[in-house]
Amino acid sequence: MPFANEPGVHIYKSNNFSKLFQLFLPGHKIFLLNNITHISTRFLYGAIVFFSFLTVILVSGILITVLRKKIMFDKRSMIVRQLEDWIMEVVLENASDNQSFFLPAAVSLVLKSQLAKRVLLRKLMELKKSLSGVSGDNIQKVYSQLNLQEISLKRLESKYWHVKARGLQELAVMHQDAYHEKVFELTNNKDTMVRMEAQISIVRLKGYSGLQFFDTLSYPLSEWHQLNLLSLLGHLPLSNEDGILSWLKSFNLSVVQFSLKLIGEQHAVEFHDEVINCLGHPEIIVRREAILCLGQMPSQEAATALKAHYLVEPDKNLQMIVIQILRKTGSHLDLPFLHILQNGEDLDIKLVADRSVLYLQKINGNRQIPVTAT
Amino acid sequence: MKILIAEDEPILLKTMELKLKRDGHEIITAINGREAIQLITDNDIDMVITDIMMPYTTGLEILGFVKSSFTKRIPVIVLSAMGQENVVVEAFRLGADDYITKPFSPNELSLRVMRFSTMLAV
Repeated sequence: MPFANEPGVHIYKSNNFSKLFQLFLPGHKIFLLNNITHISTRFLYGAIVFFSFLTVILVSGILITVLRKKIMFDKRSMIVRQLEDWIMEVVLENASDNQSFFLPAAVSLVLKSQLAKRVLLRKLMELKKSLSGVSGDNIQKVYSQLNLQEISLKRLESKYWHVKARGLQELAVMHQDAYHEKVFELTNNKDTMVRMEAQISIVRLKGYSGLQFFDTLSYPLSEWHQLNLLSLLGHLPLSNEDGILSWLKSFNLSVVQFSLKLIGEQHAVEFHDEVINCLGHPEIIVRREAILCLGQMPSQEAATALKAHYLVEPDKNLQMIVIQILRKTGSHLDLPFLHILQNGEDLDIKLVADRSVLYLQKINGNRQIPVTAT
Repeated sequence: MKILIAEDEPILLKTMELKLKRDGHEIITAINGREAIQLITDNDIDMVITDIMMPYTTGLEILGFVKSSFTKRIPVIVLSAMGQENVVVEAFRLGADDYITKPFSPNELSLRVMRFSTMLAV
């Protein structure tokens, strides 16, 4: 037993573990015999000192960070206290269009610091999200009067995505149309979050014409993001000049998908023929969206197109969607077609057809049903 | 009129307070729902304006408390964010007298309060 006379601790570990100790602590007495490692007391004292030192450094680091945050918080709170009366006066003022707001000397002095400007910008953003009308306009005017867009534009150059996103939000919320090109540049950014925020911002600033980024977009739009964009455009009427015809032919499938969603959402029947053309698209997601879109524009033409498409659609799931959509867009005239499907061999198709027949019979009441298929 | 405003965003709360003070109302403010209920209990409030989403106790709970605890008629205006239509329906079910969707104009708030003020005075 070479370590029998050495004071220390016996630790039962694997050979690899002991080798690791030897690698990091050369010079310390670590003996290995079979599966037993012996660590000398000198090493244990060393370890205690080392970990104590590490703990002191860690605790000091945490304390310094907390203290810095506290100081920053106090500074911000003090600035808010100095500015809030003036902010409220400005927000509630019934200002005329070109009137600039009076800046008291004390406020002017506070706003010489960049931190104060950033704090003011944050407060204005909070208020702009809750206030509209004259107050909302006043907030925008203060933003422009104090050149706070400089802060927002600087944020766009940050290497951090969240800072960029904040800058984009500020420009959009404050309706800074003049900087739409800067926003547009980020609509095809490699960072998903920046890209999404830039796309939302450009649509907020420019409405449908903001969607011109579709022409160069090389990344897909997620389903969630498509819904976000749709909700922003929901109150604006769609027209031929908005580029929808070219987006329906885009190489980016998600752009085609979004355009179809938009047509359906707006019930834009003037694009009926283009939607029907999309039923022949080679990609399944486009065909699916075209079917759903036709369901949003109920007409006999849509029902006829869907029935014709059913016969050539290779995907069974899409066939089932067609039958479901016929409930919305179809009429008693489509019942013979559905009766044929009811008598088919596929159980899934039969079930969906049964439901559609029941639904159409219910809504058509006592109307006479033709016996021949269309 | 003595009005309690419950809103968790301090700067918005102060803006509403200033606007309604200028209209001649006496204003009591609460930064969260719990404080609001305490203040409603301790003061003889004529009207409540409350945000729906608040910490500790929601605007709907304040509304329920006001409508179930007092014999006197206390109108309640609910402030809701866009897309909270279901909550607004629930608020009306609980007896809300009016609602305003954010973003809103302080002038609009002022007019709605004035309408209730006139109604209560009659």
